[in-house]
Amino acid sequence: KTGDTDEPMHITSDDQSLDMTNSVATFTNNVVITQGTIKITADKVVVTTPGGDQEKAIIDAYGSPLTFYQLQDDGLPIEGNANHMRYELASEKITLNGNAYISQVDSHVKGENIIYLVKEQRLEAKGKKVTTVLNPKQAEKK
Amino acid sequence: QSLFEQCLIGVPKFEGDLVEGAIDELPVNINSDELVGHYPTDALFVGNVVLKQGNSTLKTDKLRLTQTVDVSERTATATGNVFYSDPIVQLKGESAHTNLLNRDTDVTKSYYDMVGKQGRGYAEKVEVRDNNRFAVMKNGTFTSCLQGDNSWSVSGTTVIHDKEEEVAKVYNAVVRLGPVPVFYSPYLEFPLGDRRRSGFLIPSYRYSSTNDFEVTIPYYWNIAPNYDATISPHYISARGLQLQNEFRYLNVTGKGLLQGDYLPNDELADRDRWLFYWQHSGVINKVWRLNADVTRVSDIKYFTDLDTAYGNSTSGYATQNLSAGYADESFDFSLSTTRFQLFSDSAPSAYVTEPRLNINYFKPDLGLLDFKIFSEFTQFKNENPRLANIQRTHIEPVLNFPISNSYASLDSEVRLYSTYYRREEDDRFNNSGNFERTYSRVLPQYKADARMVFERRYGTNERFIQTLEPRVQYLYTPFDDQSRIQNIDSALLQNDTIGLFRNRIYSGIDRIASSNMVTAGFTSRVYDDKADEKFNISLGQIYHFTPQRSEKNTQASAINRNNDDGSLTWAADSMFKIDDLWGLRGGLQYDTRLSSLALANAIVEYKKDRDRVLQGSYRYANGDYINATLDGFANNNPPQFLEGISQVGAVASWPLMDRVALVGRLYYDTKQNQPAEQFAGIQYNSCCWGVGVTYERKIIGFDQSSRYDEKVSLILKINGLGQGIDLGSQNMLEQGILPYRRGF
Amino acid sequence: CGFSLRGTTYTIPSQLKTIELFSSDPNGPLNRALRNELRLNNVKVITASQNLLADKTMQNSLAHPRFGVVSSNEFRDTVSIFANGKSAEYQLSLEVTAHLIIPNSGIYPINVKVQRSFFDNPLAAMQKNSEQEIIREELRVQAAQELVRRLSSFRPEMITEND
Repeated sequence: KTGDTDEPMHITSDDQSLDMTNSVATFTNNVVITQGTIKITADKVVVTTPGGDQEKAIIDAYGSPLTFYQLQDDGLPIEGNANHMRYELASEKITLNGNAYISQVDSHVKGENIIYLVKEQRLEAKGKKVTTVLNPKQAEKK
Repeated sequence: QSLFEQCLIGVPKFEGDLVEGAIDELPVNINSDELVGHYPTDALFVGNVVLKQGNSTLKTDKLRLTQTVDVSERTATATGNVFYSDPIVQLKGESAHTNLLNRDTDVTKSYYDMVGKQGRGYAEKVEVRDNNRFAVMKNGTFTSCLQGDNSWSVSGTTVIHDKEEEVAKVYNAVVRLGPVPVFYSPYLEFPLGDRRRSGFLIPSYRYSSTNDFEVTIPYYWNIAPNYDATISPHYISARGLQLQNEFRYLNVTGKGLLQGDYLPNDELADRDRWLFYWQHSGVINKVWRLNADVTRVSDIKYFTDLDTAYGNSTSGYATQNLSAGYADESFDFSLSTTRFQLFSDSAPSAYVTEPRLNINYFKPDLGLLDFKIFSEFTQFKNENPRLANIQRTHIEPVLNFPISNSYASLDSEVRLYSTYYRREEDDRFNNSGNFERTYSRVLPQYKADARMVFERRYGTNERFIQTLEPRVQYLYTPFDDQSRIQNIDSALLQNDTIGLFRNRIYSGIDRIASSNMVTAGFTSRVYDDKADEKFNISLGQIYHFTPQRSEKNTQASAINRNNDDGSLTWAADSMFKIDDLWGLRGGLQYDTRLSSLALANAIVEYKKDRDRVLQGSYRYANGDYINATLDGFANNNPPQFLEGISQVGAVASWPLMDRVALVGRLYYDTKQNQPAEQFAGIQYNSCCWGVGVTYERKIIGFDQSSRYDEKVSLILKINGLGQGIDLGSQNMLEQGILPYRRGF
Repeated sequence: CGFSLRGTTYTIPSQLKTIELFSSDPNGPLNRALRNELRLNNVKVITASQNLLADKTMQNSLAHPRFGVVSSNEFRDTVSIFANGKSAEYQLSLEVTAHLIIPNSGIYPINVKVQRSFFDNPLAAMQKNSEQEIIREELRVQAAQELVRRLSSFRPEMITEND
């Protein structure tokens, strides 16, 4: 939902290592990131905070595939997975690449490279072949 | 491979298997190089976009998808190299707009091709509506020719393809041969399947020795689902401009057709010529019956001079018959009137039945008996005041006593012909002599009809069943001299193997001949294991104990004159389906009073399919026998042409390379040593058009010798609209005065 | 020569002893002739209410076989002419297509074609018209007899064949 990015972010994993000098943290094995309704699971996550500023943190997650989950304002989930994901907190921009996949209740998109702007809920997909499927009208939700 | 199959090779087919399910339950699958989306309301697909939904596919360079949050609306707009296809039509255009919830699609500047059918064209805009039932085109064209063949096309401001009605409707239609416009019509309609009548009636051209050059341009007008009309101006260079109007209707009173043709001041005949035809048949809630069969023309040479479907040069008279009545399971009555227009200049004025009331009642299983009663009141009138008006009342009760046991059946019947005549003479003319003013005749009749049926099975594993059906009938009717009754409706009937067993030798009621005779005969039939009758033969003869007469004086015809008895008439009929291709059929009637064959005919036929037919036929009729059937009606010295019939016929139809239909027909009169009818026809067919020429030479009159007329007709037709392509052999075989009718 | 007496009429297979007769014109002359011919061959006739059952399931739920005329066409063609070009002989032909629907067996189309010829005489139109009416009625009876004969040549094994 909007406002997720203002929530605190928790990252848990089996192993962690911290490189204080250039402020890079690496989490490996069963990494789970949660922030508000956003939840990301991955095999390895590298968090870099340029100049130590949490606000501008850049999270690179790797998985086979990693999964991404968020609840939207209308209460419906948006999920995705990919081989690699970059989440730039400052611009609230998520980039998935490597058979990236995003799905919502009534549609899903597959492609080489998908960019998802969380604030504007805008999505861009590129790559050899982007596949989108719009499911039939669901039963009346209201 | 038939021409139709060859043509279908050039037509797009629907690949893949059909997906069932309503449109709004099918997912939409979109592939593209790129996607930019504002979820969930807006998405732009760019590069090699392919949208698939159920059986529809849309390919384009760029596709924009908009959708309301609750998915109550979902539309796609495609621009650039749009290609849309589904099981009915394929469209190639510049841009398209599709409503993904009800599949309404619009494509602009689009070429289209029907799928699995011939039919293509171009349109400024194509609107596919009502779940693919309608394709409405603005400024569209249509042709059934394959790609690259622009022999003909039709363009219209609006062209509507209706998949359910299988019809294409064109408004402000212009027909073009190649680039040249040749024909305009405010409204044109033509079938896309075989269901609807072709509204696209093509101009027809003819040249004949009597009428010179003729051209007919039909305009089809589809007034309502159950009313349509065809108005055809028909220009005849030697006579003038005729207007042919046909109106067809279907309503609660039944189904009917009205035809009115009018040719003002025919130059050759220097008078107005008109034809009126009305045919109606209707049954109202299963019991009320309405029928009309009326043909009337302006003059007796009408059918010889002018071509129409409702009569031809061989017609001797035209009938006008109207009837209304009621019929249920055991009772019926009908009120009718019948009038004739005779086409021979020496014709006596014809009698008219005005009115005629028939009342019949059937009561089978009245105890052991079956009872029926026929009754008829008829008033015969005549315009010629010299000829009396006659009122005839006829009542005919019949009692049958059918008894049968396990091996034979005997149906004995007692019938009473009771008839009362009343003549109204015009006093200005003396009484016409030998006819009584009032006369009544009561004649009983006894008939005993015995039958048996034997059966045996034979052939490999008892494939065939053969029956043997002997039948013997005794008939007794006392003699009553009916020379005091004017004969208006009785004609001598023919005795083929079925006619032998009739209980009368004259039609109608005015003549009931005495009879004291035994008819004996048998029929044998062979059925194969598919219950199809492969062979039958019947033989029968009548043995007269006393001569059969209906009048005392001897001026009657050769048949009655010599008052013979003994075995006088023999008849035989046979049919043999040798295999699926060859068949024989024949029949003959022998009359000892003529000591020669009275009638004989034989047909041998080879039929492979509707285009490959060979038929040889022979018909013989003895001259004396013909005079007997015209007994006393033809003036006493029969016209020279009534010498008898001996006609050999040969019919052949064979296609070349599955494209060209060839038909030939010759009927030769071996007595007069001259051809009766010669017909030849050739028709070339391509996938979307056909052109042909037919030639016919036939006898149309006689003065000292037969007069002939020759006619050459040009055939133009459209192919590829219906399900198959008809080479046209059947149509040519059925043209002319002696049309081909399948023998089996 | 192997012929055995089969009784007075054609033996109708037992399954066809009772038939539901359907027709779009039940009291028309052709259906009357057919009804009469069935009666003469001891077939019990029940009048069917609706005209024709379309779908399969309904057909299998029938108590009795259904039989009736589906289409009939009459033709009147000139087959020989006099030397003055007028018709000498007309041939009347009647083509009838009937359907026999046998529960859980199938629909069997039966096509019958009968034809008779008679002499025409332009000067005796009234007499020839009454002759034509007699022949048209005889053609209907002939067609009805042929239809019933075809019923009788249906063999029991043919009916239960594709059971």
